Amino acid sequence: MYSIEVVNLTKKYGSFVAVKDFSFAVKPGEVLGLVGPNGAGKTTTLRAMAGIHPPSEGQIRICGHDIVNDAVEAKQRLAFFPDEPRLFDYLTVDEHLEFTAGIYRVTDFRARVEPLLEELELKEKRKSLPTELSRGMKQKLMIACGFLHTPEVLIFDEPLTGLDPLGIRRMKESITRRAAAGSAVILSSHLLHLVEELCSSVAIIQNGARVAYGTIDDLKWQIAQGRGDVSLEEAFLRITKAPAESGTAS
Amino acid sequence: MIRPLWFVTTRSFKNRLLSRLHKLRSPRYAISMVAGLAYLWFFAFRRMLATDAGRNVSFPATGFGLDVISLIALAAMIFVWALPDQGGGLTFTESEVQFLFPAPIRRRDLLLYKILRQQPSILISATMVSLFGFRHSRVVGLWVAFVVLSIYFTMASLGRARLKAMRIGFFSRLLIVCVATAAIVTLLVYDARGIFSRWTQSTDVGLSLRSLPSMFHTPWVKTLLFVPRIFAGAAQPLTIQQLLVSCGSLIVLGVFFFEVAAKLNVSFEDASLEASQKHADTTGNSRRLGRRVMFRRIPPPFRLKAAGPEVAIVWKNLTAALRMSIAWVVIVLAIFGALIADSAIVGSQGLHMSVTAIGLMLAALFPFLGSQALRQDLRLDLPRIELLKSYPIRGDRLVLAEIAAPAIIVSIVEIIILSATAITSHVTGSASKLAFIGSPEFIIIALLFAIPICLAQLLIQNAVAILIPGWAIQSGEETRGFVNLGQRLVILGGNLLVLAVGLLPAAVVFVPLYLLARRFGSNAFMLAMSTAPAIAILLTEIWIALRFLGAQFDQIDITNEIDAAL
Repeated sequence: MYSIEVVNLTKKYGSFVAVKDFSFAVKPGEVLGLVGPNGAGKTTTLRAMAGIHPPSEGQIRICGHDIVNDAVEAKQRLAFFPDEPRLFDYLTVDEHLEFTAGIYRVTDFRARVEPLLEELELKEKRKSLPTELSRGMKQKLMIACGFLHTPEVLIFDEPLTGLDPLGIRRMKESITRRAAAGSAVILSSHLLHLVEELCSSVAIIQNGARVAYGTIDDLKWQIAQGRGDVSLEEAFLRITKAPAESGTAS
Repeated sequence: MIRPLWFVTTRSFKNRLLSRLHKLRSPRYAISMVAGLAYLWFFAFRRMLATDAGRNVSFPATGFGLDVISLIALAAMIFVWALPDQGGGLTFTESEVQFLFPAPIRRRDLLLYKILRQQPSILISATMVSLFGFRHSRVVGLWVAFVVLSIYFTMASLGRARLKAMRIGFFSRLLIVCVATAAIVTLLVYDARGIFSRWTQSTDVGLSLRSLPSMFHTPWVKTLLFVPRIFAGAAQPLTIQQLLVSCGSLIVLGVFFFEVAAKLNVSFEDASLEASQKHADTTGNSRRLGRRVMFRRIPPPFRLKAAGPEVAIVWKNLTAALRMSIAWVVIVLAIFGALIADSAIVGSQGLHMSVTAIGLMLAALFPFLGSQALRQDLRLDLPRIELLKSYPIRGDRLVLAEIAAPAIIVSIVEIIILSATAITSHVTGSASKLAFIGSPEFIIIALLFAIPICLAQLLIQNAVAILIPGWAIQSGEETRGFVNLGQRLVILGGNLLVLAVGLLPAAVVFVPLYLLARRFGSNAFMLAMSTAPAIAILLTEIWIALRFLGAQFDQIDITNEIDAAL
């Protein structure tokens, strides 16, 4: 059974088609990288998956629950991490976590908070308001809130923006550990080395349409065509230069 | 170097204008624009542009008026030297700082750019002030006066920084300004001693007032007011010749002030960064009045358990209200409480009546004022809609949870005000037309209606955020201008209309039932029963509106508008 199923997702803004017939699926424990040039439709896809805006056509299922028709059950199982952390100006770090625990009905939140604050280096800032935090710290707080209810599906939009080197390393470890524990992860990023390091499969989107999808090794092999090894960056550049739908790895 | 600066100034103005015109293609902006312009036309411009003397609001251009303006200009020109700021900081926008400060541009050119950049806003101000009473300036006179005055202020700002470098600090400057002011006042009083003695001897008030202008015509005062009078001559000229001469003189003065400012060669970059940040914060804060954390140490109202998203949202908004807006509520209640206490102590019948009337008015207005002051609901959370929409909660339940916190606070305050007013009226036995406020039937009916009406009002306010979110989220530029004024008017009008329409069915049911109940005796139970169907209608309407708004909330996609606004 897949944790994330996206079937023929289409998202239109008036006459503009932001995403067109996009399909993919992610199993528990799998990390899928969503990459594409600026304005390709990555964030639109992720926001639709998180139930922030309804798809114009197609279906999105989170752990078998439709994000439109069974939204509450689907959202209970996911965590969405936007690229821009927009926190509540009037709640401290601790109160953000208490509030999130209330939202997701986390009963043992006190026990969960301490390791999270430790993991994300937020312990000393627990009484601070968001206005007193740096961008990186705000990002970490968003991540802590997202991890609190142990979601089965993690959706990251540019997860490493604003983090320091240690934060990046810890973030990568966190994602890997949660995937190993059975969470399905989808992350969008322009940092292709990160995608190559963390993800088992990748979907490349350009002008709202899927141009490649498969495991990273398959993709690289297809691009190299038996002539040595190529990096994901090289593969991405070659694919996105080619016309849409010209090649899919699977 | 001036060409790129001229380019950025003119293009910024043109693009801003085009972007606003482009927005008018959207009906909601067009309607707002029409409403804003209509309001300004009917309530301001029509009277100002009237040519008949009875409706003309322009100040008459007189010699005495010129003297007064000169005196004000002199005061401004002197007191600007007593300001505490001595960094020479000029305000620039964030993008100006990023592009211009590292660029190979001389300080003189930056100063010139700053003056160029101010021109559109100075021209608008000059036009408005001209319309509001200084029509003799024909706009151009005020424009030139304002521009030269702003150059003078820039020169003074840099001058203060230069003085600081010369170890002449704030207190020394303050002392010099005080001594100069005292000297000028002494001089004025000394010169005017003859006039004062005539005043004390004469019983004719008119004659005394007519002799006032002669104060300004002594040689000393004339010399002192020579430069300020040039500003006054441009702002409110007696003749067209005076306007032309004053404008020409001011342009020469402006060039002189600019040259002095440029020659001071003060390194204003650091102070400008600080001033620009401060300006941005102040602008942001004034836009977010009532949306800032005032008391961060106030604890949340209760310990949040794993009670689910509805309770969590109420908890969050109550915490926000306590930290952001509770001061306003406490001030209102404290003032009202003090009035009641005063009325009880003094015991005057007139005061009782006044307090009762104030209480009644406050009770009638508080659902509106309270819902404006306590915005800790969707209106505050709209920029975080991505987060809200990712929560596992249905739209209608989320909308209800969002408005619950302000509804609780507004309702409690409304009940306190109503009860206090009724009790005051009852206890003091206000023997007047307002005596009915102390009657049990008023208290019962008002208290029963208070909560649904507060809830309905908050729901209407939040409906604006859901149905026309672009009006609830505004970028910095959108907070000014005709369109914004129009939006506020349309929202206010719509709010009142929807509330009236919403209350109408309840009123239609309530009135006959109330009259019927009175026929069977005005006991509390009968009155409550007569109110119940009307309240049921109101609550049903609220429930239907909640379902509708919840469905709309699930459908809205405003992330692009938020990205553009924030």
